[in-house]
Formats: sequence, C-alpha cells, structure tokens
Amino acid sequence: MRTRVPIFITAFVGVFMILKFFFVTPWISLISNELEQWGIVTLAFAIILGVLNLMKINLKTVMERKRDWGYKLLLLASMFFMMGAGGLQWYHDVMAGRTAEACEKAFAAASAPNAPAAAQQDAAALKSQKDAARLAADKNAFSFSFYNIYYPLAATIYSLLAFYVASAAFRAFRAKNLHATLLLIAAIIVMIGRVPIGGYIWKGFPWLQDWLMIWPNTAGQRAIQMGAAIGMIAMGLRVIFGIERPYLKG
Amino acid sequence: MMGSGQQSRYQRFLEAFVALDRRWIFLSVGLIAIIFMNIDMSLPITPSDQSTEVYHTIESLKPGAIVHMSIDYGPGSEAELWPQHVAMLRQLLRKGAKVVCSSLWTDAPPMIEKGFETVLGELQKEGITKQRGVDYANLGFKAGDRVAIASIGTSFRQTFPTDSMGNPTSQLPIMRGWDNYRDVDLLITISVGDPGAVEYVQQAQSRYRMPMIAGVTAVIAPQLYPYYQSKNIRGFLGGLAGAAEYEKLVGEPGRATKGMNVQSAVHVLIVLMVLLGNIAQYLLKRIARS
Repeated sequence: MRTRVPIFITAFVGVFMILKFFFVTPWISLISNELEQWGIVTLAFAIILGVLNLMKINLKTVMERKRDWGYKLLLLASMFFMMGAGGLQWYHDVMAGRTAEACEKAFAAASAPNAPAAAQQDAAALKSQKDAARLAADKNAFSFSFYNIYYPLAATIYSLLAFYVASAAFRAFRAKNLHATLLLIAAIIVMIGRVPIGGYIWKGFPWLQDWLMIWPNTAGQRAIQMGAAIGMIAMGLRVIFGIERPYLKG
Repeated sequence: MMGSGQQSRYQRFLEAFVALDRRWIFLSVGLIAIIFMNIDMSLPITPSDQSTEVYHTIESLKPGAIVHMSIDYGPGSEAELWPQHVAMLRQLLRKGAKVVCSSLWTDAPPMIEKGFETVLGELQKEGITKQRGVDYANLGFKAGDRVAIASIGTSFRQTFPTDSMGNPTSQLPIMRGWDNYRDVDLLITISVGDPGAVEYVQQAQSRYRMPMIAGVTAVIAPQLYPYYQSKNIRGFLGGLAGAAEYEKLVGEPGRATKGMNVQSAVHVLIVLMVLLGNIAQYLLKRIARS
C-alpha cells in the first residue's frame, strides 16, 4: 500500500499532464488545471521546507558554537528580519490599495452633479490619506533593506565574476593540443566579435562571431537539447510506469 | 645568441608571466574598467538580426495589445538585464501596449516595480500618463517554476488571484476580456537562468504559439539560437551587447551603450593576456627543447 498509492498518484498526474499538452478536451483540461494548482501549492511549500531546513542546519551550528557560527547567526537574523519586513510591506501595500480604492469612490461621489459639500471634503481628506498610505508602503524597512543592502551586495557578487572570468581565461585558454587550440580561437573570435571594438579592429570579426553562434553553436546546442529531451521522455515514462521511484527513497 | 645568465633571466620572466598572480589580473581589469567608464569612445554599434527582430516585433504591436512580461532576474544580473528591461518597457508603453508583469524569481518583484517607476517617470515628462491596473499591472511572484508557466498559460486569474498590491486580478480593468496565452499578443521574458526563456518556450510558446521575444544574459544567449532558428523565439537580446544594440535601434543610447566602452576594453585586455600567455608558454617550451 505504501508503495502502490504513491505510484498510482504519480502515474495519474503524469498521464494527465501529458494528455493536457496534446488534447483540448474540457474534462482533461479541468483535471489537469486543478493538478497544476496543486503542483504550485506543493512547490510553494518547498520554499517553507527550505526555510525550515536552513534554520535547522544553521541553528545547530550556532547552538554548538561551531566554526563560523557568527556568520550563521547573521544569516538567520537577516532572514527573520527580511521575513518580518516583507510581512509589513505586504500589510502597507494592502492598506494603500484599499485607501486608493476608497479615494476613487469618494472622488466619483464628489464629482457627481449636485454632490454635497461633505462629499467633497471627504474626498479631499481621503486624498491626503491615500498619499500617506502610498508613502508608507513605498518607504518601509523591506524596500530600504532590499534597495540599500541586498541590491548592492547581489550586484557586487555578480560583478566579481568579471574578475574571476578574466583570471580563469588567462590560465585556461592555452593551446596545449588541437582541441584546446580550437577552443582558444573560438573564444577569441567571440570575445572580440561580440563587442563593438571587434568591428572597429576588423570588419570580419562580427561576421565570424555571428557565424560561430548561428551554425556550430546552434548545431551543438540542438544536439545537447534533443539528447536531454529524449532522456527526459524516457525518464518521465519510467517514473509514470513506476519503474523509477526516486520519490520513495529517503 | 643570449648568454646563459641573460637566458635564465629571460626564462624566469616568462615563467613568472605564465604563472602570473591573479591579483595583477584583477588590478588590470579594475583599472581598465574605471578608465574606460570615463572615456567616451563612441564605438560603432551594429544591431544583430536577433536584436532587430525584437525591435520590429514590439514596433508592430497595435495600441491596446496585451503583453505579458515575465521579469525573471534579481539585482545580481541588473548590470546586464536592467538596460534591456527598461528599453523594452519604454517602447511598449509608448506604443500603448497593455503590459502585465509577473515573476518566477523571488527577488524579481522589486525589479518590476523599479522598472515601472523609472519608465513612468520618463514618460510623464513627455506628457504620457499611464494608470496602474488599466495600462499596466504587476502580478508579483509565483512559485512553481515550470508548473507555474503551464498554469499561467491556462489562466492568469487562477494563477495570480491578486496583483502585487493585493487587488483582485479579476477586477483589474487591464485583465478584462482575456485570461490565457491564446489571448496574449506578445510574451516577453527577461531572464537570467532557470526558470527563464528556455522554460517559457518549452511550457508555453510551443503549446500556445504566441509571438515570443526574450532578453537574457550573455551566458544564456547561446542556448536560444536553436529556438530562434526554429522561430519559437522571434528575436532576443543577449547580454549588455544586446541591450546596446537595442538602444541603438530605438535611438536612445543609455547605460548599455556606455557600458560597451568598458566591455570592449576589458575584452581586448583579456584577449591580449590570453595571447601573451600562450606566446610565453610557447617560448618556454622552445627554450626547454633547446
């Protein structure tokens, strides 16, 4: 029973996902659409699982004062801070949305012919409330932390790649044999031909770069993608038929 | 003929260059980047076929066309993808298209908001005003990767019950009269990885056959050539170079065009270093043989 039920569920979901792609039938669409929503909800829970796992691993290190426990503590503190700030942001956004909606209704009432003076006053009061709510939503801890801490940190980490790529290219692109030489030549052509200075140095560089990307690259990419696709089909069928059962392990 | 003392000094120099400390490479890249950031070289930019197709696809949209823009990148890839994002969004809103943004990446929703804020600010100066929920919408983040893409294709309202502000999606004026990819005039994805352009082709475009264009980082671009050749993707922008080409096409040079100076200089530096490294290695081998 413990084996058969998961295999049946997997086969059921898999078959309907395949059927949905090939047939436009109301009852197939109905079931597969519902399964998709279940899939999204399940995958959303994976985020929660990830958070719990992160907490479990890092809390243990902090409690036992293992190596780098300070960094782990900072990681956990940052995570909880951003979660709290995110919740607050959501609250502010919802409040701003509601105030804006009320404001629009009040404006509509105030702009109606023969609108009472009180309605016009209400509209004016709501206008200032709307601006205040929007301001609170825009300038809160989440936005501040995102744009002033996370944003520059993430951009810095990614930018460091340029330095490491330069260093790696210097060491790796060595004409040691025929294959390495071909790789070196292709790399130089693409690196120079992809940037405007390539055409400035020699008009043939952009053309050569384009040729390399359109023909040899496309052929190689297509071969890899088709191979992977056939492998995925085979793997999918094995999972649907219950031959492969990775979900039953662990 | 070199003397033995001279030769050994020459050999030592070559050996030192081949095993150059990477900090020297870092320093050279940093210096070149700083210098060329402040020099205007005005290098000629020639738009590629892929970028030109992106431009023509957006240009051919009629006012009121429904465009789904999936913003799937975070601040880490801002240097490459932000210029593409802003340039495309600007052109779309100027054309009067109805732009609905969403994301499959957790750190992307603030990028959507920042994009709207920037472009709407610019358009306001030109006297063009756009209204949230009427001309554009931010549906926010959705977990689920490929499953989420398949679900978006079936129903936007079901996949995103509310927008990022918490307003019911079904009540937004921009969402009236359509609900899935059969009704969408154009799908744009600006993505840095998985889920991104490749997954949108596999899960949505190949099923619903709507026109699709993409903006991706330079490392993802080679993966898109087969889809471009098979017409799944009408065109795409690859990295900062793609964004610069697009800026040239729309006639508004911006950050990407300026960035081409730095990228050109750094690429030349890397190529020179690689060539010199190979020459040094070849000379060392020749000395060893002799």
